[in-house]
Amino acid sequence: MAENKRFTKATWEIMEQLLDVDNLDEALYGSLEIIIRTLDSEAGAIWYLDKESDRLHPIFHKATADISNISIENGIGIEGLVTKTGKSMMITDTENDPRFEPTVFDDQGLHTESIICVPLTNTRETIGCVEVVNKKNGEHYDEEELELCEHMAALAAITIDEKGLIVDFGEKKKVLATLKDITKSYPSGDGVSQVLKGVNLEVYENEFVVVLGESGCGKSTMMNIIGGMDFPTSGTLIIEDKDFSNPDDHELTMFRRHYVGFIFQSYNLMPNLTALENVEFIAEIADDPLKAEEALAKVGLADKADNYPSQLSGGQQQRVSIARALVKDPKLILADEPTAALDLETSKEVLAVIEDIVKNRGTTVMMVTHNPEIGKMADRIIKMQNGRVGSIKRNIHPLSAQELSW
Amino acid sequence: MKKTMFKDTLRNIRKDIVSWFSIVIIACLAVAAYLGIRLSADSLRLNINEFYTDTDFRDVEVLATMLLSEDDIKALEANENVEKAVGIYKANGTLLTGSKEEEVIFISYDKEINTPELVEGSLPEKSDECLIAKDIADILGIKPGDTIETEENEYLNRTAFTVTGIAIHPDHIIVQKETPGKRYVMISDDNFNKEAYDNCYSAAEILLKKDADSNRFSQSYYDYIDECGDELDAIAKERSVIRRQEIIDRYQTQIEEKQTELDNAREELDNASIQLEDADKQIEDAEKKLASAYKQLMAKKKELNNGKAQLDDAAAQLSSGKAQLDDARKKLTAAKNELSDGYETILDYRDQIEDYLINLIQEHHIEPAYNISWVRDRSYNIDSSSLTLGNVALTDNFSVNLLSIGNQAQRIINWLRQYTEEVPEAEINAKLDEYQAYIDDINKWEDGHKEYLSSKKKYDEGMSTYNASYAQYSEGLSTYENGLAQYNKAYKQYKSKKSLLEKSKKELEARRAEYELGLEAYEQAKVQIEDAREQLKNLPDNRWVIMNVRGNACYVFTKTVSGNFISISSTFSLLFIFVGALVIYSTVGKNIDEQKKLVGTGKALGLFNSEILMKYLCFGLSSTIIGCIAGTLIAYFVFEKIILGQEQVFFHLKELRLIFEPVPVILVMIFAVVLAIAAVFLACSRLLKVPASKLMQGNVGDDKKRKKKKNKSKASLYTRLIFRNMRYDIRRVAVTVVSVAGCCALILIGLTVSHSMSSAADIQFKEIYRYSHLLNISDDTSEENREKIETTIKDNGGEFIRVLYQETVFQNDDELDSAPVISGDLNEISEYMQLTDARTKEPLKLSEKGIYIPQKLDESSRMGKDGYVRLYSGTMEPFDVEISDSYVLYIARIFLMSSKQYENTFNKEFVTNQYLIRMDDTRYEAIKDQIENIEGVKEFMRSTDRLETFDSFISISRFTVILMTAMAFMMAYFIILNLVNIFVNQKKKELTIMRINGFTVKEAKNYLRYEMIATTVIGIILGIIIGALLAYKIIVLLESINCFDRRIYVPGVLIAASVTAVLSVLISAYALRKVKKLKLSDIA
Repeated sequence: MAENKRFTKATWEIMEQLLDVDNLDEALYGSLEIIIRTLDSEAGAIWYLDKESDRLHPIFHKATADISNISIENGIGIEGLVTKTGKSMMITDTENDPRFEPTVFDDQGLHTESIICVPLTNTRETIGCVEVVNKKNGEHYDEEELELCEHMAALAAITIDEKGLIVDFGEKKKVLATLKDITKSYPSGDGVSQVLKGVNLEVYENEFVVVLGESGCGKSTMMNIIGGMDFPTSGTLIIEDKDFSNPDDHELTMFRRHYVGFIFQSYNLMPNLTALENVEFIAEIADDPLKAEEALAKVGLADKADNYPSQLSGGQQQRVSIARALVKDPKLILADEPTAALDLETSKEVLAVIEDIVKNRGTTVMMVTHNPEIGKMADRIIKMQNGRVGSIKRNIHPLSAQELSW
Repeated sequence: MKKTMFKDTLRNIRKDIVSWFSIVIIACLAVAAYLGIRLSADSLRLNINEFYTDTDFRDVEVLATMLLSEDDIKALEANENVEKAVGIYKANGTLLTGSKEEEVIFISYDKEINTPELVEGSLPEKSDECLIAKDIADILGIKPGDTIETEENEYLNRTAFTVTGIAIHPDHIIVQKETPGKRYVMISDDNFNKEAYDNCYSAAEILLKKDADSNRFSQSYYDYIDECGDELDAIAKERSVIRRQEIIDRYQTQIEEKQTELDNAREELDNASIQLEDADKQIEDAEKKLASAYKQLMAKKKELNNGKAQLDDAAAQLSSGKAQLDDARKKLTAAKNELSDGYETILDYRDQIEDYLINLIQEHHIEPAYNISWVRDRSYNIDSSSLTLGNVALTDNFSVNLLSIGNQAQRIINWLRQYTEEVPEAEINAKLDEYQAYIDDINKWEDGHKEYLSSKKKYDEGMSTYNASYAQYSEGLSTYENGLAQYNKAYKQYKSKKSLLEKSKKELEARRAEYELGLEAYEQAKVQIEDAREQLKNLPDNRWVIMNVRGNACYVFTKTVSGNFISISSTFSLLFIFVGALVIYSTVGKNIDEQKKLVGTGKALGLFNSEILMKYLCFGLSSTIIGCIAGTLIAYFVFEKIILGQEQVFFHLKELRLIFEPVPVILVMIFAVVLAIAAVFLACSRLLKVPASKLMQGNVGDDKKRKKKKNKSKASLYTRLIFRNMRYDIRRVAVTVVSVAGCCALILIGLTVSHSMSSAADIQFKEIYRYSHLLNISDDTSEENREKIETTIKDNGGEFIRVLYQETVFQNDDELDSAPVISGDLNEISEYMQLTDARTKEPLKLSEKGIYIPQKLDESSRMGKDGYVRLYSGTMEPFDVEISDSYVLYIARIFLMSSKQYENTFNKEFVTNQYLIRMDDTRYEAIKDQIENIEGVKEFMRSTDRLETFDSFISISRFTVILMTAMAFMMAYFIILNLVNIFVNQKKKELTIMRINGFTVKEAKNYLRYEMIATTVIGIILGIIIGALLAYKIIVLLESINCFDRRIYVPGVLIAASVTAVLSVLISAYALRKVKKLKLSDIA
């Protein structure tokens, strides 16, 4: 009885998401979230078929593992078979069921014990599939749950068909940083608090990634590890093909010095240096930096070069902070809630600068924020949940900073 | 305070527990350092004051050059401030116990003032019993029940006493080694010979009226005794004149009485003189008579001698004549014998002739031959002049002359013819011719006989003359002997008379001698009376010396030692408080500054300023007060105990109790509370004025004052940033610099002061004293013994100079003080003492005139400005001596003057009593006993022997300074640790930013390090300057009567700088480890 109610509620939620939709991306991702939540699953994904290449791409997925840069040949694997055949597949005993083939989640470290994969079939054809993996309570999926997934997939396929979904699959992006099973624990009282519980993620070159998540979900910790400000407790961290899983301090310092720029919510400028000097301060230690004046000009503060931080507004300070991150011409800029303390207009100014950096300098920006609106301008939105990557959403159509509003 | 606020306050402390704990420790150290010394000083004074109160230690002691009469004592007691005044007796003496001797003072003890505290035994009950000072008991090993003896003393009625107990006299609470001077043997009044004291007292002890809890070391007490002293001075002025006049009157009467006696004696002497003159005349007459008699006797004697000489000549002549006669007689006898022999031969010849004739006759006889009377007699007398060969009887009727024998033949023939017819003439002729050959012999005989007879005749005549002369001689001799007998008789009489005269003369001389003695005695008495009159006329003023407690060496010692503590606490220790206060201020400020956002939030949430302040007040106050309480406890239970334990060795008191003096503690607590509140207010007041919104942004509102910065400097941005950090955070930097300076100064002060004391002794005993040994002798040591001493020294390779050493009372501002005066040949002295001008530091220019005073006295008293020193003679007669110059002297206070100046000053003969000696110390050991056995030698010692006493005296101060230095080290450690922590914490965010942006750990550390180096270097430089200045000030304060080495102690500077630097480096190194451990993720 309870199950029925739950499923009915989920069905209604999915219907609300998909039928009354302004933004298809969000509707699809929201539906996936609903189904994963309702089925209490560890992971889930919506695969979309690129007819041109006959390959399946995970346009949305929610899991501890990052599969966003992976594509599957149509007909291969569970997802390929379901898409190819248009028939649902539920495997409750992956150990003994001969139909089971390891999924991409397995490749990313998530061991599949139970899986439902249903086709996205509109009135004419199968355009992809939806899958959920592993129930968190260890139980196996059942037929009712399969049915719920099929309803959701059918509804999603109809919506896609109605609304039309254009996905630019582009080329496969070059990975800048790879996180595999990254954990981070801190001593807490008598025990240990595990902040990151196995993060799998890839950060690509020249992308704008927004990391969203509840407070304490580990998004800042993950960013700190990527930025070389913290060490992972376990797992593998590859940055530019170099293993930073167990780096020494010097390596990390050099990494930060030459590859990473940081932007903080509280700006963290050197109080006794002027705007220009704050930028110069970093330029002096970097290899082949930009000119400080140029960096400052890029953020539109050339006229404030001689002002001390305390003589600048919050937005101006944040722009100095961006210029400071920019001046070393880094591959990666990590921004931690850079607009949290700013008003909308100022935030948009700051975000515009960041957008410009990504677009025009080919820099990767990973931004941690609580503001989901900012996610709209990201190439990917990573949602952290309870120390893991909860979901990774590819923005099919990122907005510009000026289009944002909250 | 609300519950939640209280929790927040507690958590604020817990969060910044390191800073809170730093304040606790620094406050604890600062308070412990200050109160430890201060409480020790107070405790020492309170202990001693308590003892003084228990023993009714006199507040004032009065001495007078003409002693103190009963009326004087009553006059003193009549003063309204005087609780009680008692007269006491004092007499110097020497205790003799086996091989040991100890000079002591016999003193009458009183049960109301200066009551001795019994240490062992019981109080005396009988007159012949006594108490002895603990020092004496310790030195001589005397125990209760023992008997002590002293030499005969005009001031004491007794020479032996039974010791009933060992006691501490309030005058001597310090061990003798530290406060040299004779200790007391306490006996009852009746043991003193009152007459010797002119029925007066040696001194008066006065107890002033005062509150029971009055502290003898307080300023109010000094003011009080000075005020009372003025009143007693007034009494002294009045009574001294009265007493003097009484003495003048008494002695005037005595002089007049003596004058009368003298006049009588004069009369008697005059009578005796007349009698002597008569006797003289009588003796003169007798002498004349005797002289005349003697003259006669001499004439007689001369006459006798002449007679005797004549007699002797006669006797000699007689003897000579007799000898000649005897010789002649011998010759005559020989001649006679020879003549007899010749005559016998002749007779033989005659007989032959007769025989021939007989024969012839017989043959041819006419008549028979027998009928002829032939002479055959052979008797003859040679002496007979008739006996001659010219007539040799052949018969009675017929003689022949042999002298002409040739002619005799005929005669014979003729003669024969009577008897015979036939006479053979030829035969006869022939026969006779035979005899002709003997004619020469016959003639010789005949001549010889004649000569003999002639000689015989002369002899006989000579003999006759001799006999006649002899008879005369005998007669003369008889006359002479008679004369001699008469002379002898007369001479005997003369001798008898003369002896009588001599006896009379002796008697007269004896009388005259008696007279002369009488006359001399008279003259002496006359002179004495004149002297007495003169002395009485010039009788000096009766000088009263009114000495308050500051005249007691032990009191001064206690005051000095405790004063030194107070000096240390008011300078050195106070610096701890100051530095501690700075650090507390900066730490509290930092704690608040770090939380300015919270302050802003609090304000935004509607909290009152007071409520916000309360949290930080709790932080600052709790840590400061807990630190202060801990410091107070450490000061009381640790420092005070340690320091009093150190002090205990100097005092005879059984135990120096720990006493808690609340006043300084309360003051310190109040100061600490005010400081903490002030620090919180100062730190918060600025923040509380800033709007909440600004504070929440981390902005305190003064940034607008900054001018836009155009980079004109050529220095790297990194360098500029460091300097800018310092400039913009000047308050923190200043506090850091001053705190580091304070630490450095504290260490430097500790080292400098400690060194200064030791160094002073070293300089004094190794540089200024250029002599190795010191020999003190009595003033009256004979020349012979001086020569022995000098010979012994010279024989042992030593050299020396002679000086006069005299402990002299002098006027030191308003107080009487005493110090030795050394006089002699200043040029010689300068060879044995390094005399350096205190002002120019050049060798002292020596002058015969004036007095040279030690540097410290010059500085600490008015005398240098006045230009003269007032010295007092033994009778307290004042003499002003012009000051020539001041000279460098450290440990001792010695006045120097030339022997000429000495004689001019004191109107006394310059007699040396001290030798300054340079000799090999091994020789000293060898000759020490020998020298000390020479009569007059008092003490033969190494010049460095006195170093021990000084070392002991300064040991407490030095110990305290060392303790403070150790505290300074600890303080420095904690302060630097705290400052570095504050600094590192303050810069944590900037460091994190730097680290995040790729600055290496080294670069990030250097960012702090350079500022630390700068602040440390500036702090050290400032600390050295402050430390050197304060050390100088403290040294001068601690010097008291001595002069310590005031020069900058360069090794101390280096050590202080190094220690501060090393501490900074080590602590910084430790603290900077945080940079490596910075959690970069915290920045977000």
